[in-house]
Amino acid sequence: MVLNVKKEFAVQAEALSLGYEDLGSVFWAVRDVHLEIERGSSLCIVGESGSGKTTLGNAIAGLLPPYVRVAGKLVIEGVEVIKDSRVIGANKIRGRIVTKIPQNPATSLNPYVRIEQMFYDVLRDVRGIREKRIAREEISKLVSAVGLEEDVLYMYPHELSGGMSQRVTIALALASKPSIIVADEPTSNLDAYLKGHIVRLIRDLSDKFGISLVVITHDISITEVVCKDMVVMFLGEIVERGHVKDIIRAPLHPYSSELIEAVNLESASYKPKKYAGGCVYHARCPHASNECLKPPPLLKLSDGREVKCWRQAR
Amino acid sequence: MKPVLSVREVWVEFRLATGSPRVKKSVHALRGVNFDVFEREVYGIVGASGSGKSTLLKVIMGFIKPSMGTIEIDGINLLKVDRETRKSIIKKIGYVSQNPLTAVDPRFKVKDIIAEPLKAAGVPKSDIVKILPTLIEAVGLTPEVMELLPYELSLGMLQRVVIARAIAAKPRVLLLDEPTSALDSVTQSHITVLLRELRELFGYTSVLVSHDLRVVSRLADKLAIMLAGLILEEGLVADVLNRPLHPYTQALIDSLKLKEMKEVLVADPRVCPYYTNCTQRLEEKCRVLPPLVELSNTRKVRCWLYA
Amino acid sequence: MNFTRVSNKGRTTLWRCLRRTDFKVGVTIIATLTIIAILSPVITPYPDEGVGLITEAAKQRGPQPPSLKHPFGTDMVGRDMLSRVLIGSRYSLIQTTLVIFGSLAIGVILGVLAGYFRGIVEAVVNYAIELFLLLPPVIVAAALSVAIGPGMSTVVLSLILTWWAWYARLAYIQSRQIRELDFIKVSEALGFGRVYVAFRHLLPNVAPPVVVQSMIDTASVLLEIATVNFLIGSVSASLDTPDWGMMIGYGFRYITTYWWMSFFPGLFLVVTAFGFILVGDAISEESSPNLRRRWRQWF
Repeated sequence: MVLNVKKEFAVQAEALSLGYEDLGSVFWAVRDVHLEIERGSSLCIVGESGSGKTTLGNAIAGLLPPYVRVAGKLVIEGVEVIKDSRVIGANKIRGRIVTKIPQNPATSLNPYVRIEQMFYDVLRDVRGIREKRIAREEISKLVSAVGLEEDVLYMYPHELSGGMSQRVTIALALASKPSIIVADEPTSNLDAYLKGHIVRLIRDLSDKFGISLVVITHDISITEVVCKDMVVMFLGEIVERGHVKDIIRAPLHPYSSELIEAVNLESASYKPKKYAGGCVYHARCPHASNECLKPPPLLKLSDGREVKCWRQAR
Repeated sequence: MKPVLSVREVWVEFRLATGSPRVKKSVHALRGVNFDVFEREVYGIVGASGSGKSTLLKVIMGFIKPSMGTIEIDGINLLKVDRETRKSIIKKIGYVSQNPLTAVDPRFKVKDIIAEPLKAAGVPKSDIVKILPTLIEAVGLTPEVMELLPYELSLGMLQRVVIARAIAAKPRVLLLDEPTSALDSVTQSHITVLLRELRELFGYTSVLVSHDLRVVSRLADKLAIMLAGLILEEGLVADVLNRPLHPYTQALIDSLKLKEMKEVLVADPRVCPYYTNCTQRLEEKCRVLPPLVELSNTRKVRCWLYA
Repeated sequence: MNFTRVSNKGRTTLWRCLRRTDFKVGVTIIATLTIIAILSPVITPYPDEGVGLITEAAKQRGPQPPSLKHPFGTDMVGRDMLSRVLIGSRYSLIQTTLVIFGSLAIGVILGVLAGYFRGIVEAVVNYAIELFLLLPPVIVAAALSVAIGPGMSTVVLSLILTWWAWYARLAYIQSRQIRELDFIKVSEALGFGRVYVAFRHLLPNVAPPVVVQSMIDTASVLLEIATVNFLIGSVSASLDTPDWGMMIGYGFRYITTYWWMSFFPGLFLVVTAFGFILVGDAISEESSPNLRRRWRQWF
C-alpha cells in the first residue's frame, strides 16, 4: 500500500538546540539545527559518537529524558513537540506516530517476556486491538514482512540470534503503524555480513508502508542503500546536508571526506586538539587555517545542498 | 621453518543448560581446528559471531580448556606442561579484546595499566618509567594521558591503551579479538592504521580475529574463514580475496558491497555448515561434512566442489 | 549558545553531594555531634557526673525535672542529664564506627575471597553468611554477655557478628560479576599470583558499592546498638554508663513520672539517626549514576 505523498513535512526543526542539564550547567549536544523531512522520504543522520546524532534522533522519536533543555522548534507530523524552550508534545507522538528501532536489540527486549506477548502488548496499547484472533492475524503479517518464521513468537529474546532479534525489533516498530521510524544505528551491533540485509529490509518496508525514515549511523557506507538525503553532524552541528548520492560522489566538507575514507579504513589519525571556538571541526581538519577560528557561515547551494566551511565560502 | 604458534585438532564443547538434568545437550564451539602461524606473520580469521573465532583465542590464552587438541608455542604444548611453565609462556602473549571498557581495571591509571605486563616480567621500576613514554607515543597518544583514569578517555584512546599494554613486554605472540568492532567507523579506521604502523615497526607474530573482512584484509598475511567451529578456507590474503574458492567466502566478499544476504543459520552438525545457504550445493554429497583439503602449501578449502 | 564540555572530571560523588540540601543538613548534624563528642569533657557543666560519678552535690539533689540549672533535668541519683547526654554522644559514635568498620572489613574480605577463589572457600563462606544472617543481634548480645561478660565490647562484637554477613553477601555478588571481566583474566594471564589479583584488582572494584551501602546502614546500626543497650538498661538496677540506649531503657520504667530521663537521650538519638539517614541517602543517590536525579523538584 503506497501512501499518496503530499507536500506536508513529516519532520520540521527550526533553530533546534538540545542540551543536558547537570547540576546547574548545560551541555548542548545539538546546536541550532534546521531540518525538514518530507513525508515518505528518508534521511540519514551521520556522525561519530559525540556528534549529537543520537540526541537528535531521540528528539524526533519523542524520547528525550526529563532533564533535557531545549530551544527552538520541532514539529512532527503537524504536532508541536518542542516549542518555547519546552518539550510539550512528546507523549502524543512517542510509540504512536514515531517509533524507534533501538541500537542493541539484545538488551532492548525484555528477557522475561515471550516475543508473542510483546506484540500483543503493542497492538493492545497502541492500536486498541484486544481480540486475540485479529491480533494474531496482524502479528503473522508483521512477522512475515520481516522475513521471520512464526516459531520465533514462542521464543524468549535470549534464544534469538543477532539478526533475528534485530528483525523482531523492526517488526515491533512496525506494529504501531507509525508514520515515522527512527532507526538508531541499525547495523552497529550486527556482523558485517548482515549489514546489507537489515538495511535493505528497513528500506523496503518503509517504501512498502509509506513510512518516513530517519536512520542514525556512524557508518556512511550504508547511506547509499537506505536513504535519499543525508545530514553530516560533528560535535552537535550540521556541517553538510544534501542528497546522499551528491555527497558521496563529491563531498564538500572535510569531515564528510573523512567519513568516506573511513569506509576503506584509510583515514590517518590526527592528534585531537582542544576546541578553541569557531568551526567545530577545526581541531581535526587537515585544511584548517586561522580563518577557521571564526565560526563559518552556512552556505546554501543548489538542490538543497548546504555546507558550513570557510573553504567553500571562497 | 618451524611455526611460532601451532594449533592442532582443537575441539571445544559447551554443555547447554537444559531443564532436566538427564538431557545432555552440548554444542561444539570448535571442531578440530588446525593452523600454524610463523614468525612475524599475521594470521587473520574471519567469521560471524558464533563461528568459534573468539573461543579459539580464549583457548590459546588459557581462559577455556579444550576437550581435545594441542596448542604449541615454540614447540611447547601449553596443555601438557605443568602450571608454572604454562604461566611463563602465557605471560608472553599479548591480548587485545573487543571491549576496551572491560579490558582495563577502571580504578587503575593509564600508566599503571600499561606498566602491568612490565611489572609481571620483573622489569625494575626505574626502567618502566623510561619505557612508558615510548609506548604511549607508539600508540599515538600524548604523555598527559598517563595520569588519567579509563573513564576520562574516549573509546578509541582506551583501545590504544589496551594495545600499548599488549605490546609492552615485547610479546612472542599477539592475539587481537575483534579490536575494532566496538568502535565507530572513523575510530575503526584510526585503529586499523595504528595496527598497520605497529606491524611495520615491530612485526609481532599475531592472530587477528574479526567479523569484518575489511579489517582483516588490511592487516593480515594469511586469511582463514571460519563457520560453526570449522575452518572453511585458508590461504594468502590476496589469493583468497581475488580467487575465493568456498561459496561462503564469496558471500562474505559480496556482503562488503551491502548486497542482500541471507543469515547463515547452522543446524545439523553432521552436514556442511553452509548447506542451507549455499547456492552451489550438491544435494546428496553436501549432506556429509567435507574434509579440509590441501590444494597447495598455502591453500586449503573444505568443500565438495574441490574434493 | 554556551558550549560547555561536560566531563566527569572533578565532579566526584562528594562534589555532587555538597550541592544537596539534604546532605548539608545531615553533615551539619553529624559534624555537630562529632564536635560534641570530642569536646564533651570540656564543654559539659558537670563532667564527673556525666561520666557516671555520683558526686556529693548529686546526692543532695536527687531526681529533678528540667530547670535553668539543669536543662535536661537530673537522673535518679541526681546527676546532671545534660552532661550525661553530651558525653553519651561519644559512646554512640564510637560503637557505631567500630561496628561499621569491623563488619565491613570482615565482610568485604570474606566476600571477595569467596567470589574469587570459588570451590570450598565459596561454599564455606556462603554457608556462614546464611547462618549469621539468621542471628538476631539481641540474642547474640545476650549469649555473648554470658560468655565474656556484659559491657560495651560485647555489644560491639555481637553487632559485628550479625552485620558482617550482609556485607559479605554484597561483596560476594559483586565479586562474582567482576571476576569474569577481561581485565581480571588478563592480569591472571600475565602471571600475577591469585592473591595479588584478588586484592589489587578485584577488591578495589568490589568495595565501593559495599561501602556506600554501609553508609546507608549507619542509621540502622546506630539504632540497633541503641536497641540492645535499651534492653540492657531496662533490666539494670542502676546505671552509670551514659550510653543513650541504656539511659532510655533505664528511664523507661519512670516514663510517666520522670519522663526527662528517657526523653533527652531519645531525642538526641533520633536526631543523630536522622542525620545519618540524610547523608546515607545523598551518598547512595549520587554514587550510582542511574539513580542520580539530574533535576531537582523540591528536595
